Amino acid sequence: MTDHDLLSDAALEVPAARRPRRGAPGTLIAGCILLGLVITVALVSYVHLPYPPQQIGGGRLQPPSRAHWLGTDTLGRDLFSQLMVGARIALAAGGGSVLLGGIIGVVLGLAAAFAQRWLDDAIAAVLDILIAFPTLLLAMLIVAARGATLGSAIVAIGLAMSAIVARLTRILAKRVLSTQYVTAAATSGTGWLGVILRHVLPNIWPTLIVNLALQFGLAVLAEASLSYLGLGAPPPNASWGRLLQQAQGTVYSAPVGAIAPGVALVVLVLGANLLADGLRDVLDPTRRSR
Amino acid sequence: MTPAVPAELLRADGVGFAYRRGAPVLHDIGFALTAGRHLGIVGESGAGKSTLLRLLLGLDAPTEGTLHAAGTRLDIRNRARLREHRRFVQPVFQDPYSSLDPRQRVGSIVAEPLRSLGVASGREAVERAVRALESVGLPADAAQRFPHQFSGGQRQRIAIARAIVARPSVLLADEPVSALDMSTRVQIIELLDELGTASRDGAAPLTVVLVSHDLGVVARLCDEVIVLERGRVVEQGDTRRVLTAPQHPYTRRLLDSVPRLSAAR
Amino acid sequence: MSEQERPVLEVRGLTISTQDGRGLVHDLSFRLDAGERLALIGESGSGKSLTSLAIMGLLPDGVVAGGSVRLGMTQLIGASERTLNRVRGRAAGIVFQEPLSALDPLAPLGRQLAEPIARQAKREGRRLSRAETRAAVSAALAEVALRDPERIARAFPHEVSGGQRQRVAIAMALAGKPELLIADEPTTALDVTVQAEVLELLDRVTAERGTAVLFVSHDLAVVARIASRALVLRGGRVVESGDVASLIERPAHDYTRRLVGAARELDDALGSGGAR
Repeated sequence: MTDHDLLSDAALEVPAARRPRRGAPGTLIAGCILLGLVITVALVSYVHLPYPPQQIGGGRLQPPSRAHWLGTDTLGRDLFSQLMVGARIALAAGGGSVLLGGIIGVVLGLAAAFAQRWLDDAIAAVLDILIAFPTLLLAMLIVAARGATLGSAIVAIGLAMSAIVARLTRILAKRVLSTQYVTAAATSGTGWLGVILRHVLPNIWPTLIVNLALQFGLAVLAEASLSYLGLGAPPPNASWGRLLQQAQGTVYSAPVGAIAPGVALVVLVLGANLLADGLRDVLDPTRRSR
Repeated sequence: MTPAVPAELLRADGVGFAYRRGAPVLHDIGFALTAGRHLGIVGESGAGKSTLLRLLLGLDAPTEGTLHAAGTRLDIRNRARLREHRRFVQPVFQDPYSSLDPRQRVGSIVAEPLRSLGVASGREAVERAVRALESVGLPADAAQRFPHQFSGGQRQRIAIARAIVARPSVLLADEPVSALDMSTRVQIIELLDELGTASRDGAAPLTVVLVSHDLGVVARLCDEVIVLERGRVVEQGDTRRVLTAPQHPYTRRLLDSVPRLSAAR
Repeated sequence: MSEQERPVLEVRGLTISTQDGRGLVHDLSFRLDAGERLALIGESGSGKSLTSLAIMGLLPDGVVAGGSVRLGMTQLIGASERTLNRVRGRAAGIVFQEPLSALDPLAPLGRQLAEPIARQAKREGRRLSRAETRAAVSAALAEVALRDPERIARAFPHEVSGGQRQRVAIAMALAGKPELLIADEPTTALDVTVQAEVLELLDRVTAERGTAVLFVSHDLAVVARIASRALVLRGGRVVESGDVASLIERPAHDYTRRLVGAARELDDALGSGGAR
C-alpha cells in the first residue's frame, strides 16, 4: 500500500466508514436485551421463586393459570419455577464452557502460532481432527466416562470448543506475528511475552470475542441436547433440555410444557448471536478511515 | 589537534546467507560503516537487500562470514549481546501503514524500545517519547492519538521517532520513502539528514544506513554507497565517485535507467 | 469540427464527489488530441486517479461524477453500462499500478490476453481458430518485448516478474486497438531498470500505433520522460498546466514550485554525484 496507490488514493478521499450499516447498534442492543432478560430471570431465581421447583402438588398437567403462570408438568411441579432455575443452568453451561474453552483454546492457539514449523503443523493436525469430531459425540464420550453432571457437561463442551478457538487463535496470531510492527517490536527488544501482551492479544481479541459470543449460544444448545438425551445433570434438574425431554410425551395434550423451554432456548441463543453480530460491527476496524 | 579516528560502527566480512537447501541469497558481502558517513545500499528486487538488512538487525545470523558491531562480533544466540546490539542499531521499515501497531497509541509505540530495552520506564519513558516525536517534527499531542489518524509521511516520522528514542548509534532505514509522495519523500530524507548532523539531547549524531532502489534518494543522503546485484557487491565507494564514474556495467545500467528532469522535451 | 480535429478525449467541467456531497474533483477541464501525451501530476488526494477511473466509468460505489467526459463521439458521464462496456477496451485501455490486482490469479496469462484479442477480432469481423488465437497472443507478447512468449503465455501471474506482468497488462490494454491509453502510475511499483524498460516500451508502442496517452503520476522525472503536456492537480483542482519543460523550468504556481523543488533536490544530487 503506498500513498500514491490507486486504491489508497480513492480510500483516502472516500470515507470508508460511511458505508451504510444495517442498524448495527440496534443488533447489539437487541442482543443485550435478550441476554439481559435471561440473566435477570436467573438472578431473580436465587432470591424468589413462585414455588420450590420440586414441589409436587399443583395438579398434574394443569394449563397456565394465575397460580401457575405456565401450568404444571406431569408430576404437578410448577413449570415457571423450573424454567427460572433452568436459566441458571443454561447460563452456567454457556458461560462455563466459554471460559474453559476460551482459556484453553487461546493458550493452545498461541503456542501453535509461536511454535517451530513441525510442532505447529502437528498441533494444527490434532486440532483439525478434534474439530472434525462431532461436538456432541465428543461430549457424550466424556460424560459417559466421568458420569453425568453439569460439571461434566461443561468440561466436555468446553474441551470441544477449545479446539475451534485454538484454531482461530492460531490463524489470527500468525497473521499478527507476520506483520512489520511485530518485527519492529522484536528489534525494539520486546520478548515473546511482551509481543503477546502488547501486540498479539490487543489485535486479535475483537475477533475472538465475537467468536466466543457465538460459541456461547452453541454451548447452551449443546448442554440442552445433552440433557435432552439424559446425559446432563441427573434428575431432578431443571435444565431446559431436560424439560423438553419430559414434555415429549404430552406435547399434544399440554403443549406449553414443550413450547416454554423451547422459546427460552431461542431467546438465549438468539440473544447471544445478535450480541455477536452487533459486537462485530462495533469492534471491527471502523477506524479503517485510511 | 589530532584528527579523530573514525569509529567503525559496523563491519561485514565475507558475509553470506543461504536458506537450508537453497541457493545463497547473499555471497561474500564486505563493507564497513564509519561514524558520520551515511551508507547507501542500492539494489533491485532479488539483490538480497532485505536479507542483508535482517542480518544487520540481528534477526537472522549469516551462514558465512562475520558481522561486527561497535568492534565486537555479533552473535545473535547470545541474548545479552543481542540486547546490546538493539541499543546500538534501530530500524525504520518501508511500509508506514503496517509498521505501526494499529491498536496502540503513538506514545506507547514510540516508547516501546525504551521499556523493552530497559533504558527507561514510566514517566521518563513517556517524556522521552514526546521529545522524540518533537524532534521529528510532530506535536506532543500526537502521542495520544492512533496511527490511522496520521498520513503516510507522518507515520514514517513516528517510525523514525521510535527508532531514535533509545539513542542508537546506527539507524537502518529500509526503503523508508518508497511508499511516499514526492514532496514527502524529500522531507523525510531531509529529516534523516538533520538527525545525522544535529546532536540530540547531547547524544552523538546518528549514522544512517539507507537501503533503497531509488538512486536519487541515496545520492542526496549518503556519503558512501554499495551496489548489490543478485546477492553480491558489484561496486562500492564514495557516492560522488560511483555516480560520476561507475565501474561496473550494472551500476552504469542503474544510473542510465533513472528518469531525469532533463528528459523533458 | 472536422473528424481530424475532434479530440480523442474532451473533459469539460468534470466534478467527482461522494454521495453525501463531499467534493473530490472540482470542475476539471482538458482535452487530448490524437497521438498526444498528457500527464496528470499530483500527490495522494489530488484526484488524479479518480479522474482516470471516471473516464473508464470505473468509479467505486458511493462516488458520482458530473460534467462532461467525451471519448471520441461518446458521452461517458451518465452513460449506460452497455455503452461503457463498449468503450472500455475498444476506445480506451487502462494500465494500473499493480497488475496483480488487475489480472486473474487463477488463469494463465495467455488465456487472459486471448480474451481482448478475440473480442477485437470479432469486432473486425474475423473469427479466430484456436491456432490463430495462439499465434495472435504470441505476436502481442512479442510486441511488448517479452522474450519466450510461449512460456509467458502458459504462466500464471504470480509466476512472472512485476515488469513482465506490466508488459502483459499493456498488451491487454492495447489489444482492442484503442485511441486512448490511460496509464495510472504504471511503473511506480517497479524496480528502476524495469521501470526504464517499461517506459521505453510505452513510448515506442504508443508512438507506433498513434495512441494518445493519459499518464497519471506523482513522479515529475517519469512524466518528463513520457509526456509533453501536463496538468498539475491538487485537492481536485488544476493549479497549473502547460508543457512539461516549461513547468519544470519556470513553475508559476507555489505548489508546482514545491513539487519541482523536491524533484530537483533528488535530481541534482544524482547529477552532481552526491550530496555532501
